[in-house]
Amino acid sequence: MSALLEIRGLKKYFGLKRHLFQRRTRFVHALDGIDLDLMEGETLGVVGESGSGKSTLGRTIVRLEEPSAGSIRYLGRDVSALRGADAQAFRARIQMVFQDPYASLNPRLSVGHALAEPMLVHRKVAGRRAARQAVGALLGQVGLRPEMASSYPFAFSGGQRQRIGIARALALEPKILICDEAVSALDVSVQSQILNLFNQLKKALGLTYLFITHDLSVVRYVSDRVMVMYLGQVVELAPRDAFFARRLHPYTRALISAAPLVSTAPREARIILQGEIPNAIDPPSGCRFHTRCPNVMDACRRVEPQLREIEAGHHVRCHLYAAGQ
Amino acid sequence: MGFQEDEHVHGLIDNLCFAVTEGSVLGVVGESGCGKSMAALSVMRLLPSAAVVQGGEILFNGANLLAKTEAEMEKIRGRDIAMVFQEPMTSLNPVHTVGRQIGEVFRIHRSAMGAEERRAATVALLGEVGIANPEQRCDQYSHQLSGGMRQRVMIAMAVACGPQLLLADEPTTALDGTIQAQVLALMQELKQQTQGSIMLITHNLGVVAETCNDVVIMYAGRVVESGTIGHIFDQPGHPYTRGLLASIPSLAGNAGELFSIPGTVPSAESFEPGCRFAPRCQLRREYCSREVPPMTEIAPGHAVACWVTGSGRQP
Repeated sequence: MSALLEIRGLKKYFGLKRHLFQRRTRFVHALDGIDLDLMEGETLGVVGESGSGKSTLGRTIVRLEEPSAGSIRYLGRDVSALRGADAQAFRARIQMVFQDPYASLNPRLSVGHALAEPMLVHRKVAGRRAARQAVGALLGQVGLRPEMASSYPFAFSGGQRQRIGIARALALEPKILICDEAVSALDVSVQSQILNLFNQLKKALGLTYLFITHDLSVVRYVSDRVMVMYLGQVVELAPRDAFFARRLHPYTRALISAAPLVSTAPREARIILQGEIPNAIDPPSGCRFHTRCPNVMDACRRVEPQLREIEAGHHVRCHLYAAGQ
Repeated sequence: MGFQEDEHVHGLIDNLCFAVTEGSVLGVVGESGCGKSMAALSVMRLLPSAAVVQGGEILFNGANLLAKTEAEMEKIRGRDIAMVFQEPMTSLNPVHTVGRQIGEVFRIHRSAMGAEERRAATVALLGEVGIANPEQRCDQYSHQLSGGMRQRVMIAMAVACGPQLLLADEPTTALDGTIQAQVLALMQELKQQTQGSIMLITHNLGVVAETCNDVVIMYAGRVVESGTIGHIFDQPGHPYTRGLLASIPSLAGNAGELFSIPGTVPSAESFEPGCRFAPRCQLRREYCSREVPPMTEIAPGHAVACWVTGSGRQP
């Protein structure tokens, strides 16, 4: 497997509006030094709570946001240097599926129109007749009937709308799909249908996924590797089974322990974290998790830990696993 | 109960029947549009104006809430029955401090309290629901609080008068995982203190398994199964309950493809005659759509509404 996407030192700061007498602009540190290789054909699950930067990561990769620093390379080429036709071709390779299928479809466009538009803009199809055929094929691919193309979004249920959202993302034959909480708004019985659809499409089309979600059981089901983010940084990154078996970072342990289990069997004692996620404007000194960490040590308050590979493919950012221990 | 649209009333909730036992937590589970929130709003008598209650009664300590006047309900709401809503952002008033909003409960139901006493009680309450610096927080506005803190304020407001029944409609759905764990722990703690009962409305079966004693599963406006959490999670009887449990990915990992119930949840305009789950049901028989299946006991305290897995005679 080779890296489809190489991300190095990626940062995204959002400037806050400055008060009249304030000397310097303050920044929200949404992404702070992300290094990541997305391998061809894998599903990378990205987990984190609100404010962790997981959505900003997805949006920066598809260039809905411009990075403040760092580089994103697609098949070895720096994407920020792409211009004109090259940039357009790159955008077609990476597509996004959003959380809210209600908000991400234009209510005034028929589904057929919404699906044909990207194909016409990118000249994937020549003329209306070809577009109509391509739309029918797309709808079939996501489990809808071709004649639904003439209906408007209000006529569909939440699950059907999410299928349309997926069809639209597939219209340009992308290599990578970035799914941002793509099943979070769906009912349980519909969620499993969409998860299975994602898996089928991956096999049929050879897709690579960056699957952003807060739901750990969903991550366990779809991912090959799992990455946990906290306040704009990666705190743990590992192959799925090793991730759930070893849970090296204290935050990972708390996160897994907080997830309610669908079972009446007795469970291990829950780790309840104190306090809330700190503000990303002035992130805590040293380790960003030290304010809530049950294993906090003196060094954690002063020295920022680095992301280190502890075992093959298992990376952790924590002083508990400092070299030599 | 149903919804009025022009001249026509679309029936939603049909013959809903359940009981909250004193001192226990009842989980009401269902997917969007099954009527679980409307059931809670009926208890509070806060249904939207298009809703029409077509029959039945809601007994609270033996008295029918549906027969009460609005003035009588105002005395009950907030004092005997209180509610926590899903969206703490939209259910707090942005132009009043949180202290004032909590104090309002005392002003209405404990009118003997003076202003100072009220403030002291509010600060104490904020401390009890786990808000740090309650003295300061009391004078802040909702936009100055995080999502988790707002939900704690909502809970403080709801438990201010020590209600006998607390209705919680998706109280943790909008919260992050680690904060959800905190809030659920808080609700358990408060319940132990006050000995009250909780009706917890949620779509999250994990939350139910960990916090409830009894469960009611709703589908398309009807109860399809009821029992203790042991019944529902270990020996689910209704095909819908079984399908729901099988379609949730497990944190312990799944082998092979995840089960999924075909089709989608019907809306009130498109309910089928007979069993409303029949069109999606794997055990469907030809007679399922002829008559509505009644709730029948399959074990003591465990009932299902199903012609196939229930104990009733087939039509």
